Amino acid sequence: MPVKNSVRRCRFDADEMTQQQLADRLGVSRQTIISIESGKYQPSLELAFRIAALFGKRIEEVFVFVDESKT
Amino acid sequence: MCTNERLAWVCLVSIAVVYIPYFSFLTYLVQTSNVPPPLGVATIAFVGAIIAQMFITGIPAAIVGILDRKQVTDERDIAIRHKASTLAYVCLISCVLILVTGASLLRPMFPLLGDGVFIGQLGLLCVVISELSNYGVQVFEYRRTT
Repeated sequence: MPVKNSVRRCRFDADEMTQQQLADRLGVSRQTIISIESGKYQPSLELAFRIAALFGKRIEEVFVFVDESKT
Repeated sequence: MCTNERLAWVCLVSIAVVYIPYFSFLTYLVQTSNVPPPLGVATIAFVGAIIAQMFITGIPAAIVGILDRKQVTDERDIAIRHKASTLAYVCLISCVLILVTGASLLRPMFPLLGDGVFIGQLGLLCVVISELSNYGVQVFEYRRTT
């Protein structure tokens, strides 16, 4: 997946927030958080912004586009 | 496993459990008598299949719904359903086109293809195949993204 994320790190930094707590605050299922963290599901732009805002960060600090054609 | 994935499994299994025996039975009737199944027999079998599917799908779906009341439908579920329904639609259109083309081309060789009940059952088979692909894709996508 060309978009990497640091949601797991952000959760750890936010007093070790659990996946369920994050899911409840975002209004999504825990399975969706698991999928996002493992990089198997790319969230919508809206959800990505909400995740970043929840951790008080800019979206590019949480989600990073990796251009695999340049590597 | 989330609620929506469980429901997709329930629907996939119920369709397979009901319609594989249903079409096997009709195929057996055609093979043994070499004529299309009578309208009465086909109708009774179809109504029986619908009632069986209502029970096989409804009871487990109700249990899953009661056990997982907190479960929410989020954007991932919607994306998976959208992808599955798109592929199912393509599958349905493809099956119908193959059926119409095949029936018109092969009718001189196989007179059965001119029978209304037989054509109706082939149409139902197209719907069943598209529903199987719909729930099959949902299950696959839930497995892939978890």
